[in-house]
Amino acid sequence: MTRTTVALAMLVAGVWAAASATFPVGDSDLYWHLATARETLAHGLMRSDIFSWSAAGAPVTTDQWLGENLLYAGYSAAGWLGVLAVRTLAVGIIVFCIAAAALARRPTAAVASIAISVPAILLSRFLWTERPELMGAAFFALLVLLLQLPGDAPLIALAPLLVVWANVHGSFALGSALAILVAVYGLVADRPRRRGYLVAAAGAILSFVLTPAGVGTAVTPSIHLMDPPRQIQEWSLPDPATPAGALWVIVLGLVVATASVSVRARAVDAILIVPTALLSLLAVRHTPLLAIAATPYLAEHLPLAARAVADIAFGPIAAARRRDRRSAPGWMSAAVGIGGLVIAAAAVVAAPREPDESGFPVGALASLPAGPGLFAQYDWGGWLIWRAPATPVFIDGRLVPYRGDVLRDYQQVLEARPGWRDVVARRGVKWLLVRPSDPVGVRATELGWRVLAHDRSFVLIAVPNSLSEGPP
Amino acid sequence: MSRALALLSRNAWPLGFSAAAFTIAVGLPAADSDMWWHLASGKWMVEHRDRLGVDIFSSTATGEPYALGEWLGEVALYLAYAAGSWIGVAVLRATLVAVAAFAVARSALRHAPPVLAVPLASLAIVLSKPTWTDRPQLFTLALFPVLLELCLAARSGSRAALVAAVPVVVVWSDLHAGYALGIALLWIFAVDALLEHRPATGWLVAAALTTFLVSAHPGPLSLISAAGHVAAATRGIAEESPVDVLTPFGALFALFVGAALAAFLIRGGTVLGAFVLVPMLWLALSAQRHVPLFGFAVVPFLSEVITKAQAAATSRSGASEARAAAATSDREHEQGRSRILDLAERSDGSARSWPHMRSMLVIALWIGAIASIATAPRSPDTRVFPVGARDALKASSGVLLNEYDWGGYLIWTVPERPVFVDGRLYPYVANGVLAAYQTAVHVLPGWRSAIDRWNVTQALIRPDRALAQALRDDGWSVRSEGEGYVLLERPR
Repeated sequence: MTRTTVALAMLVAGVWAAASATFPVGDSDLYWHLATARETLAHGLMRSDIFSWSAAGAPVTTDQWLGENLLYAGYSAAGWLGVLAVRTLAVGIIVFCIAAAALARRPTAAVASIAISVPAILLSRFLWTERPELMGAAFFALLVLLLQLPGDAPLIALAPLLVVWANVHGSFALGSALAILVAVYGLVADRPRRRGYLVAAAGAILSFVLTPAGVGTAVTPSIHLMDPPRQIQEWSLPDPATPAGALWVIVLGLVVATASVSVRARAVDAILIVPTALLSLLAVRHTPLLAIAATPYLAEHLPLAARAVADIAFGPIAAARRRDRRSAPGWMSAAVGIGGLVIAAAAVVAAPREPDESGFPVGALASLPAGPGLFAQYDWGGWLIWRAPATPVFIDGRLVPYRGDVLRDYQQVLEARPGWRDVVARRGVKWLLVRPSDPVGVRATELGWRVLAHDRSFVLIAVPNSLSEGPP
Repeated sequence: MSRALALLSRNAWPLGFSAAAFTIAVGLPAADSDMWWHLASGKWMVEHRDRLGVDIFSSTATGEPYALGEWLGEVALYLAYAAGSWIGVAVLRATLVAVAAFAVARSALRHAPPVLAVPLASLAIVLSKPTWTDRPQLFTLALFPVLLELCLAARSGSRAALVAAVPVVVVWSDLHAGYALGIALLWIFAVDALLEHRPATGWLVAAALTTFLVSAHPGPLSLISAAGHVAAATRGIAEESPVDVLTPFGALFALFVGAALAAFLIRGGTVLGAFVLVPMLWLALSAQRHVPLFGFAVVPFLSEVITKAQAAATSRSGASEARAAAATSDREHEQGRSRILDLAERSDGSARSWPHMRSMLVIALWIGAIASIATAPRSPDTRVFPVGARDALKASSGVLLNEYDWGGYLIWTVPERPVFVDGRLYPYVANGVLAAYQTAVHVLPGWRSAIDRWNVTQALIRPDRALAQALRDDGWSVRSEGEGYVLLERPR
């Protein structure tokens, strides 16, 4: 990569990172990640559940320990602004890698390359949450960038990248699988870089064992791959009728159209694009990965495809006069790059200091009783873990400890399906904290159960003693 | 006679393939939840010799005008039923599946040898299996690949194929709203011809004439509505939802997407391929009922790319000089392709020495396929419907709230009890019936008002619905109960 490429990518990254900093923190899963990190720092890795009363003591995954601690480090250093700074940094890295990868493939047309990277940047917006998942996306973007670069060094750098990634987020499994595929291909077809491919493959294999969970670190990715929880929005199927889905289909369509018309792609392009395209069919949250993987290919081949179509339609067009594209002077590149950093830093300084809690039942906090027995919305679980630590949750965004009976019972009660009161009794639920529009909220109110607190977004209901005492 | 046998021989693979598809399809029972109201609509139109343009089946949209533009498809379905009861329905289905199979196989064989084309076509036909439902949509399943094959033939120089494409789309427009895809396909080929400086006048005339004839014709759904019907999926209905790649059907679709993507990335494709496949991919990702059409569309392009790749590999292994000339890929492809075709011809030596053998084999396969009609089920598969509630429904009256998926079945089997909602969907959207139905069955805020507003006196729903529990809590009595259903009645 040239100095100019790096500087331009930094500028683009700075602008987008600054834009991301205008959104306050407030992801529903952020809170349990922070609580887990706090617990980890105080008592070591948390290997069993201590936040819920429905799955207390059940094994929990440790695959995101490093990502959680990075978030908590930000929080410890500067409160919610620190969390926002970590998020902004991760967004900046993602955008930098996307833009740099596009520029690396087509350095002579900087504006076009940056324009082609916009869909991927926009799609990555749906990952701009304060969670290790965002860091996983940053690692993925870095992997894609490294695979665009010549020489052994980028391949060798993959090894530590994958090992660290494995401790940050479960998405490392995708990166390691892709690295192994690339290495296998490279060992056969690109022998001069054999040393780099061997090191990358070794890093990919080690990433599956060099974590606190050992080989068990692949459990969460496997569950998410083979049995995604469809009832959770980010795990639902990508829908072209939504803005994110439409953008994803545009990217996929561009890849198909470009591949149909342009010259052959590099093998690495196919290795990156085909698996991520298939993965993106699986769930909404994977759709940005396709866009990130496809951007370098599109940056090089989309103009070629457009040119090929124009040649067919209008006959061979004289090549545009090649302008002399010398690298910008060093001082100018440095100024541009530093400009990007300054923009992002200024945005962080001016960013909202407090989290956005408008999606949570803040008004219920004062009325929440301590001790087990609260049945609350899945989306509110993480927030309650942080804000009401004396009241353990029934369920929250960690999902894995709740798969099976707890999740099934949760849905039966929430949707007020036949037998829901039996579940309430069997589980010993004492209070319901749900949305007024949830069927269980509707029915409990109609049945005359006592409302302890409510506003437009929540209703806190006491379960009658006759039910909550449970079966004899 | 010998010309007919020669024709059979030339189309031996597609004809044999379609015979196999017929044999499989005819043995399946009728089971689709929408088939019933299509049959009832067709019956009414045959009996009244008029097109049905207002609702006569529901209690919530009675007399309201609606148009689905499928009148001929519904009449054809009912005539098949009238002619041969459920066997007639099965034969119609199997015939349409066989037509689709024939066209898909022909389009695959256009570039590829049978050893590649037949497996590819087979996968595409397997992918279409979930849409082998007995309703007008099946005509689109058959006519889309037929039109694609006609267009590909016309692109290769067949004027007759281009001429035939026009009536195919015009008839299609009365059979099912999917005809909008046919018109789009004609325009795509016209644009491709213009772009590539091939004779485009015929294409433009065919596309414009078809568009005019369909627009001027009163029978079908208007082109804009038809395009909207194809493109705008209604979420909440399984077939209109995106496909889940973790199901066998979805996994096969993903296989097609992955194979097409890999093949085009590695070998490149054609401008026409991009024009056809990108919109079809968008449709397939929008709603799973379009997935089979993507499979049909991808087959000819994928077979072409794979054949070229094979050809290149063959010529590379054939001569080191050819390897040196790898950059001139077109010549390379041609050399390899002719080698493959030579091999295929050689393997068909028996056919040359015994000219009519292939024709006889095809005739034998079709005799077998026709004989397989004897295996067609004599009755539909009603296991997912509330069969046990029919007597109780016939013996009572009042406004019935029913499951959406059961509406069509009730229209056909208990016509004396108008339905609350059914698979026709459109009569129930603008007047808020569908929203009221969703509110009621999920017990959302206002569910009681929805029940009261429509004076519902009975509810025939699945027993695991929240509404089943809520109504029981309200004192509604169980009038009938069975596996998978409960009929609740309002207290008097």
